[in-house]
Amino acid sequence: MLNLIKKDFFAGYLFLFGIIILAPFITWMEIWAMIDDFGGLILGIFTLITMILCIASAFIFMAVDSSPNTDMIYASLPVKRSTIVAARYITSYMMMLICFLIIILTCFSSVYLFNKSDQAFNILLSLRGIASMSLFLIFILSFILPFVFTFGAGKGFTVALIVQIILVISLPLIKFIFNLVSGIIEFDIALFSRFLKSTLRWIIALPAYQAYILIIFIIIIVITISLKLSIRFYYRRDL
Amino acid sequence: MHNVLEIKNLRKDYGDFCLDDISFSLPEGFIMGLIGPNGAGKTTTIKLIMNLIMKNGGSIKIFGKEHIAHEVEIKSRIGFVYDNPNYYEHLNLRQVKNIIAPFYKDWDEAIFRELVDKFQLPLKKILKKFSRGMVMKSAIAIALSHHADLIIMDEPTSGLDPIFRRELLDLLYELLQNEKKSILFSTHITSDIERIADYITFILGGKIIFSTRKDEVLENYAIIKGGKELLNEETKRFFRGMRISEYGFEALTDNVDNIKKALGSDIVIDKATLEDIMYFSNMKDHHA
Repeated sequence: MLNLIKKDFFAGYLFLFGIIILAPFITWMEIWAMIDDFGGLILGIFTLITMILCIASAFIFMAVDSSPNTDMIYASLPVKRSTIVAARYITSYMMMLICFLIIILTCFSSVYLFNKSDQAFNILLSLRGIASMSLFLIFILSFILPFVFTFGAGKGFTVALIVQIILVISLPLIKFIFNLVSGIIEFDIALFSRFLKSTLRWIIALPAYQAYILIIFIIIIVITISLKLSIRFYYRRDL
Repeated sequence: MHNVLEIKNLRKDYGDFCLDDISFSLPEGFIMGLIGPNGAGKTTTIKLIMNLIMKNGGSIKIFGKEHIAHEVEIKSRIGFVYDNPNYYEHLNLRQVKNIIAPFYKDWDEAIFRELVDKFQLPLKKILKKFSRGMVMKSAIAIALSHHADLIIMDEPTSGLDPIFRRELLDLLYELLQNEKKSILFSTHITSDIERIADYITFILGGKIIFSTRKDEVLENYAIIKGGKELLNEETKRFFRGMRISEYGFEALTDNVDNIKKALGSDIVIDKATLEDIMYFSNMKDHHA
């Protein structure tokens, strides 16, 4: 396992240097432009760009590794396919979190070194903000990875993206179907909605340590399900 | 004499191509050549042996063990050379070796150095700047550096110049003389097989045509040449493949005795090369 992780970083060290240089540069540009031109940090856009950067860095790191079809070479080594998948998971999450950490440090540097502060940083740079963002990033990457192990890096990412777009587009459709069904079989959609809202309120109101335990618990479940799916798909994949 | 590789009724269905009912075995200490035209199923067979693709049926035993259940143990004793060894192009050979070597507990740095010197490979040049022959030599050096008991190579000599091809074949032969190693390699360069193989497995259209000792193949098969007037439904039955021109016919047979009886002295019988066998087996009646 350790050899595989070392291999990934050894093979992708040029890309890692690229991220170490590019991620702070892009983040500073964003902060400067938003504060100077728009009078403040636009939280939604900033968060979205941060997420794209982090996911892209994990994905490109993985694509660098499998671009010259090295999968075949490594699958012929005396290593179980499940170990290959697990190692690839660790390196992808590590790469994503390294990028996220660099962005967070860049934000701190802009506040404390360059006096480019904004109210939005109170949320972004709080422990709960960082934890929630990490959870969200891990959730998205965990969703993408099984597709990557089923179809390969490029095709897998495209399929995952299409599925995500379909899910987002189909949300209003699901709501419409729910409304339709509730009209026919008298399903109380308001009850379902109340349940979701009260659950969210309960999570937000949790004391800090309980919230973090819950986040860690959710992360473990999400990663475990994703990993199990990826291993199953990768075993069936013809290389 | 026990078999290091035993394949029984192996099957892989791709929809438009099916590797069907493949069975053969490789005894310890011998070289087997897997021959067949492009698209015959050689690479698919090798990928199945290496568990790079899933089989649809049959069994594969390597060193007497089921190849999936004992995958890690088996692969640590195999030296594998793929026909398109795609290592990281931005790394040099030393770096690639540093990545691969820790996976093998029997990695022998001295052998690797010796082979690198022998093949005149630069350790510090990035692989992107390597020629195909150099990439292949690198893959071979890596595959032979961990004391593998079974060496599996898919088209190892394609893209190599004749001098290095001959050197590689000598090296493989030398390996076999000094140690109890077994080698399975696929190629469509039949002269390579004729030079060093002990056994030959011929695959065509996803099916085994024969899998036997090379001497037996070369003894049994012959090229028959004669006039067109000799051809009729009765005599055609003896031929595996035939080329008919306006001057006569040329055909492959594995039934020389019966041909002699049927056609007497009106024919010329030549020894068949492996290339002849591949060529004629791949065709039915062909009119030039």
